[in-house]
Formats: sequence, structure tokens, C-alpha cells
Amino acid sequence: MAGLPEQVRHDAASLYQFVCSIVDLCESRNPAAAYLSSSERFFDYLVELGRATKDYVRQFPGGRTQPAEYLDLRDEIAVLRAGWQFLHALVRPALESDTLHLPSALLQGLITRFREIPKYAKTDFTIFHTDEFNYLTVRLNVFKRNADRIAGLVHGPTFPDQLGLIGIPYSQSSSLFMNCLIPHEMGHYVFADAGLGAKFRPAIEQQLVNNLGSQLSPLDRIAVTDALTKWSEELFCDLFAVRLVGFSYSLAFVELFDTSKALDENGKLSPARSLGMAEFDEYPPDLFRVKQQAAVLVKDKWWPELVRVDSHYVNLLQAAEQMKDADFGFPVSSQVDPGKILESFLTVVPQVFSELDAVTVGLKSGFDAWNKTNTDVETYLEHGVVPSSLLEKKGQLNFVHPDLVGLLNSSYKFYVESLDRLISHIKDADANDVGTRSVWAGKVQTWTAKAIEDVSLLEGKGIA
Amino acid sequence: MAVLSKREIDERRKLPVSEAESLVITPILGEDVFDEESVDLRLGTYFLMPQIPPQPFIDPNSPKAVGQSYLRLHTPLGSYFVLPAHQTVLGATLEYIKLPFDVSGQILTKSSVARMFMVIETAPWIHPLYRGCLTLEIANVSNTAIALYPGTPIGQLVLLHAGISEPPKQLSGSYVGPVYPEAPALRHPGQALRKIGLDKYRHPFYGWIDEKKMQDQITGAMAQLNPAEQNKVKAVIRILQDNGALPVDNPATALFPK
Repeated sequence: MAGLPEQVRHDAASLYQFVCSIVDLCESRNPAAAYLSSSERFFDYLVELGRATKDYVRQFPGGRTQPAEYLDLRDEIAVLRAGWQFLHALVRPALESDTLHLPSALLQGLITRFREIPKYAKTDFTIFHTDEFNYLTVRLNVFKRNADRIAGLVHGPTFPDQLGLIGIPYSQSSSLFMNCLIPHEMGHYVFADAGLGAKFRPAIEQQLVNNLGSQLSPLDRIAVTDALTKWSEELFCDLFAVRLVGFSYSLAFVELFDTSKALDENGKLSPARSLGMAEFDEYPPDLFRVKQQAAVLVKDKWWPELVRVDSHYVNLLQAAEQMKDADFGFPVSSQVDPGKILESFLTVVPQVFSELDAVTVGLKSGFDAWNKTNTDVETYLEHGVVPSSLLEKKGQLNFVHPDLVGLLNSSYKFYVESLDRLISHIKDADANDVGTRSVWAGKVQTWTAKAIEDVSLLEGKGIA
Repeated sequence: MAVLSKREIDERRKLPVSEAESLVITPILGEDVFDEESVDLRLGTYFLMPQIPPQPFIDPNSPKAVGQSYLRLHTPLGSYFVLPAHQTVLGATLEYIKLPFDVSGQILTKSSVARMFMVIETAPWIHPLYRGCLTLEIANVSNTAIALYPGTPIGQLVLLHAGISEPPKQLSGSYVGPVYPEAPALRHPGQALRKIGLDKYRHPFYGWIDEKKMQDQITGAMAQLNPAEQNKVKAVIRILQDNGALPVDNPATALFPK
């Protein structure tokens, strides 16, 4: 058997090779592909951390002479390898997420909108693909802790400040409407950054003590507190998303989860059809989430306009908004009173709303701007025209450029309510044909994405 | 056909989009794009680069192969795209345009671009009512590679009175809405040739094909079979088709749509 120094050298070389393989991928990424600046930032960070790791392990075993020192180095190698294995999981999905495979215009628009919150004026998000049909956020505290453990050992760069990591389903790269769910993931970033879990948790625990006393064992109390804190996070992220992009988030939510299946033939909530949709489980139930979103829509002035939209999605929102706390359940098989657990959570809900107000101070509601341009944006879409320069008044060469929130909400409204109007202008297009509807819904999204891109250019130039 | 002047262009741009006479060009990134009788158009950020097709040549019989003959690229504003000497690429204008019902357009290579021996259009005519970004057939006919910068002016749009008095009631779907460069939508040659009285055409792989005769023969043969046997034949054709043994563009398979 080789001596300890040789063994350490061998293991270091193996790790070196592994890190090289990741760094090479990041450095020699497809030159034909373009990436958002936030992705470039992520790759640059990985390259720097990789170089630092390589420089560090290249010296192994260095001047060590004692067996205990060699064994320590082995431990370090194991820690570094585990750390890089953790980072490894994100490299390929991020590399595949070039600007051709992401809704780039929308993402840049959403990041710009997010940065309107003064505290997050410099925050960025790296977007990567996920195999699951789900939107997700990488838990930054876990990711950062792991990455910074590597950095601490190799004297490399720490994980960039104000950089979030969001995964989107790979199949949704060209979808505009479904990607209105991304702001929910941005909400997770805010939730962690603002330490809201640490704020909600004691309040939830106190409510559990007040409502259930000794019915919950200490261990059960911890488990239930964890679950309720998670609910509060999901709820916060929903509310944050609505505050950021208006009702387009709620419509995307209803679409993704097919929540409208809960409606009967008259557009009313059907107890039979909504079975299970009002019960808390790992997440708050869809109908509860929609009800709370409606509360933000009311507060931010969207609601009176939204309820006039002729769509089953909106019927669902209205039906959920009318639900009472007593309509929701919490199925548990233990002897603990589930109603009391739910009550404990509901007591904290107002705090979620007040924290939302606190973290979004300085963010203008998009409602007023949307209200000014909505009719025109819809008219442009109806006539198959990208709605980036709206004629302000007939006979004058003045144009208005709708903002991101205005474009998203008008476009989504048009899609759920008025797609037939567009199709009626097209020769031989049958509005009753699913394939035809899909084609024109796709075009509406493409035109809206183009408008978002155009407006960012027009605003940069300040030219009509 | 008189060319629209700057004043006429402005008058059209002042009309609401719902009016058939209205003209839209967006984004307009500076008034200097307007000349007395033309509008400068910029290069967009998406490209379709021809690549080696899955078959030895582009065959109009095989629309799927046409789509596979291009590599889609995105070059963000600020970056550049190198077009090698004697190479071609499909690009698109940055501007989305909506033409009035009574105005046609023609896109021309900007002279400064043309003097680098770049051609941006080989099908420059734009029909009235067209709406979309214009696909540009960009060819570098020079002996040196040229860097193309999206966002820079590349073409000139000239608008002409088309002498049409009534707007049509509906739009043709093929003219509505492209934002990216579009690969050609090739049509099956047999259909076009039948219209001019030709029953037969020569397929690059299958030789002479008389679709009508073949259809009659197959229909006749199928008529000899009972429904169960017909289903077996169809099932065999589907198995061959699903396993790539019978190309989807084979005219015989068109007789048995999935």
C-alpha cells in the first residue's frame, strides 16, 4: 500500500480532476449561446471558486509530515468534494438556460420590477432549468453555507451577495403566461433575506401553546410549527407575487393548478368538485391561497376591474374570495384538534400581510399604469400588433409605452377573455378548434414578450 | 405606384391601430430613422443559420427536414454575429410593422451595408396588411467575414400606394405576427403541379410518383379487403411509419393519416 503522502496526493489529484471538469464547462460554455448577466455572474463565481480550489489542492500534501496532518487533509478533500458535488447539480441546468431557452425579455423585466423595491435595487437572479414541472427556489442559506464552506477552506470567493437562484420547468422557456409564477420564487428570496421565518415562527409557536396547551408534545409542537411556518412562507410568496405583477400571477396560478376544476356548470364553487382543494396539507390549499391573493388584489385596487373579466379563471377567484375560514380544513389523524391548529395559523395570517407591506415599501402598485393602457394594449393585440408603442390620441404622433405590469395583465386578460376577437379577424381560423386557439394564444405571448423587449429599449432611449 | 412621403407616413402613423389605413412601426428608436421617402429598419437579435440538413438536399416534400436545416441563434444587443464570406443567414428586423390595407412595402439593403457586399433581401416585396417583423435573407457575398451587430440599421423600408380601395374583411393568417426569422413554409410539390395539370412528379428518393394513380390503386386494393383486413394493413403501415421504415413524407402514408 502506498504511504499516506501518496494517498493524499492521489485523492487530491482526483478532486482536482473533478473540479476541473466543472470549471471547464463553465469557462468554455457554448460560444454560440448568450446568457443573462446574472447567469454570467454565477458562472464567473464558479470559475473563481474552482480556480481557488484547484490552487489549494495542488499544494497537497505540502509540508505536512505527521500522520494526523495527512488524515486532516483527507477530511478536507472529502469536505471539498462533497461541496463541489452539491454545486455540480446546478451547473448543467444553468448552462442549458441560455437566452434562447429562457423567457429572457420577461425575466429581465421581472428583475427590473423586483429592483423597484429599494432594498433590492441590486438583486439579481440566475435562472436554471428543472426537469420537474415546477418552479422552485434554491434555498440560499443551504447553498451559501455549502459554497462558503468551500471558500473558507480554499480562501476563495464567497457566494455573491444579492444573487438568487430560481428554477423553471425546461418546457416553459417560451411561455409568457406560465412564467408569471416566477415572482412567487422571488418571494422566497425576500422571505429568507428579510428573516421572516424567524419572525413568524415564534408567533406561530405561541399560538399553538395558547390554543392547544399540552395537547401537543414538545416534539409534535416543533413539527407542527415547522409546517405552519412553511405555510406562512408559501402564503407570503403568493402575496408578494401578486403585489409585484398583479392578477397575472393569480391567473397563472389557477391555470397551473387547474384550480378552476372546482367550479360547477354555473361557474359556482362545487363542494363535490373541490374536494380536497380546501384542506391544508404540506402546502396551504389552492383555494385558501387564491382567497388570500384576492385580498391583495382588493387592497392594490385590481379587484373591481378584475371581477368584470369574463373568464372561468376569474369566477374561481371570486368564489374563493367568498370562502370563510371555517370552509378550510386540516386533516390529521391524531387526537389533536385540527381546528385549533388551523386557528393558530390563521391568527398569524394578518402578520404575513403586514410583513408584505413592510418589505414592499417603495414599490408602486402597477394598477394605475395598467388602467391607463389596458384598453389600448388589448386593441393592439386584437389586431395582431405588438403593443409597445400605443398611439395616445388620433391625429397626434405621441406614443405611450406600457410597463411590464401593464403588459402582463392586459395580455393575460386578453388571453382569457378575448382571444376569439383576435381569431375572428383571421381568415379560415376556427375559434372552436383547440389547435387554432393554441397557435393564437402563443402569438399573443410572443407579441407581449416582444413588447416588453421593445419598451425596455424605448425607455432606455427615452424616445417615443 | 407612388412612394409614400414622410408626411404621408406620419399621417398613417397617427391613425388608431384599429383603422385599416393605419401604419405601425415599433420600436422607433429615434426620429433620424425617417428619411423623406423611407424608414430605416434595424437588425433584430434572432437568426436562423443554415446547417447541414438531415438529407443531402432541402426537399420541399419534407417540411420537417426544412425546419431541421437551420440552427436558431440569439445574439443580444451589444454583441455581434459573424457571417462568414459567401454564407447566408436568416435574420429579422428589430421593428414590428403593420402595413395599411392599401399600402405595400419594399425592403432594400441600406447602401452602406450593400457596399460591404451584403444583401439583406431576395424577396423584398411586402404585401398590404402584413404585420410582423420582416424576415431578412442575409447573404454575405463578399470575400471576407462580416460582423453583424443587432440593433444597427440594416435596411430601408419604402412604402407604396397599392391602389386598393376596400380593405378585406379578414386577414390571411400567414401574414400575421412573426417576431422571429421564419424558415420557409414549403408546400408539397405534387399539389402545386396538379393545379397546372401535371399528375406525376419525380420524387428525389422514390422516383416518379403519380399520386392519383397510386391513390386509385391503393383504394382499389383496400376495397378487396374486409374491414378487419384493412385495419391490419393500416396497422402495418403505422408500425413501419413509427419505426422510421416508411418516411412520414412518403405520399403513400398520406393516404392513411394517423
